[in-house]
Amino acid sequence: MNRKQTVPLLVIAIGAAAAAMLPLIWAGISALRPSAEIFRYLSPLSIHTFVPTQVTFENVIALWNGPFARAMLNSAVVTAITVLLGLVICSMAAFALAALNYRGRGVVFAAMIVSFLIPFDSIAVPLAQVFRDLNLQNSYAGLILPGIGNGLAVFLLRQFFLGIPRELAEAAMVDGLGWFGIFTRIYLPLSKPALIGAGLILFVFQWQAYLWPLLIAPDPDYHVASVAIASFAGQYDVDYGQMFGGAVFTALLPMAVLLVFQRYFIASFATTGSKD
Amino acid sequence: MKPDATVRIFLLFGIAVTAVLIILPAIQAIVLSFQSVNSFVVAGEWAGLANYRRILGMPEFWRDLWTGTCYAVCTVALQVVLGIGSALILHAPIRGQALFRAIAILPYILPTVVVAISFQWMLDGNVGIVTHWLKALGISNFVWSDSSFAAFATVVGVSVWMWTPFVTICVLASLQTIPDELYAAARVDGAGPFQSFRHVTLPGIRDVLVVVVLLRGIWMFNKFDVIWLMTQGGPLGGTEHLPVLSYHMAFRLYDIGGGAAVATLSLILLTVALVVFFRRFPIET
Repeated sequence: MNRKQTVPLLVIAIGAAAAAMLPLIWAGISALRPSAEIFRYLSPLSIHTFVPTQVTFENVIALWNGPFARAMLNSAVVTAITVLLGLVICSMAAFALAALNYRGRGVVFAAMIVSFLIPFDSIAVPLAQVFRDLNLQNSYAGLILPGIGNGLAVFLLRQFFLGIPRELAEAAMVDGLGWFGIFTRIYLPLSKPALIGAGLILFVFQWQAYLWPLLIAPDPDYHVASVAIASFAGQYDVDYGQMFGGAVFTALLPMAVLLVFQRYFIASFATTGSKD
Repeated sequence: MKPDATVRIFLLFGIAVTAVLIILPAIQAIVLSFQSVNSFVVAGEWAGLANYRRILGMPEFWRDLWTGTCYAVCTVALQVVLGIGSALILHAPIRGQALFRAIAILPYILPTVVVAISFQWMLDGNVGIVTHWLKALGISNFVWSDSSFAAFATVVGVSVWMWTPFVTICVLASLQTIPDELYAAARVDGAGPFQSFRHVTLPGIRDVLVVVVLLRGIWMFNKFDVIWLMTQGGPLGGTEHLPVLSYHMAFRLYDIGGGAAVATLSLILLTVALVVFFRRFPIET
């Protein structure tokens, strides 16, 4: 591509990137202002609207000394375990679905679509009832379990597994390897991008979760980051500085993960639309 | 090759997890929809089709069905158009590509609470930065949460902002599978940029687009948290769709059977829409 085309493209890309980041940038700027100044320089529009006259870390320090620190830790632990457990379970299910013979495929695909159809929000109440009966309220297990079986992660992994030539498995079988060996020694090592993609999907689902943690873990000791941020908006007043600080910190971890893995993430979706 | 015990165990395990986490609660929700339940602790009474009869007679149900359909159609259409556009830009070799790609995906992975809070704050009628910009442009007293249309446009805009990256990722991945030779051949045949998009790119990403429209359509029809966190369905029901109605009935009015019936009706309607979609765009499995 020549220079003439690249420059406008770059301009569009920068504009779009700014649009994608605007809410976060704005939240970040606001979090670094003293509480009294958050609303001060909005109008008239001037340089001080964007550049704080006085940068303070009081909000950030208060944030980390408050319940938010515990909530971030909870989120990190819950999400990490969800990704690990979820990858084991989803890849096993995806492998079984990919190994089935052709006759079963239509049914399998239909079943996966049906699992997408049922919104988590509408089964959350009966599911919470089951979890309470099992005494899982206010526990890490209660927060983690609903996140481990993810339809989209299974779908991505299965599509990727189907793209691995069957001849490899057949040759390995002739050499005496069973299906378990084929799974752990051939399919898993070949599926790095799909595993990363599925891992990110599990990560996103759990990191974004709000309604479920609210239902199953009302105890502040088990609050996750989303719930903690929302609780800065109290019934009578809102602690904007801490709320924005929390929002920015909650965004930082996904950003870091994304910068490292974006290449694999995109590659993992390459087989989404493929026919077999 | 015959699947052996490993495959069967894996499959059983997967079915067990799905059954406990999705199918059983879903069946329970459907059972609830035939009961009259007014408390989360006390068991309900069998009510037959009473909940359904009542809901089908509610004007709110039909209004919310229409709002939800508009919301799903608008958001999916905009996501697909913008997603293809941004995928094309991100596919082009520009400097800082990896960084741009990471930023482009960013909205998709932010917690919804963070997104809702940030946008509410930017759009706030008194202290929102966007409100002040509009004022500077001569549009004063614009309060998005006061008008049904503005509130609807806002939740559509935020949803598009947040989920376009999913389309971008899928399209970008499939763009990488289109061989360069096809573009070269199109150029040799005298195709301009528009024609090569129409005849090379679009057919190349078609299969992915069908799956993406299917998935995003399902998800946007069921999407609850953005609308709930930003408007709670208001003002005056202007942004209320079926998931919000269901939640509102169950948690605010303690009409748990009614809420479950709304969710079940929504599931039935979506299934019908999907059957029609599959007739039109068969997906080979």
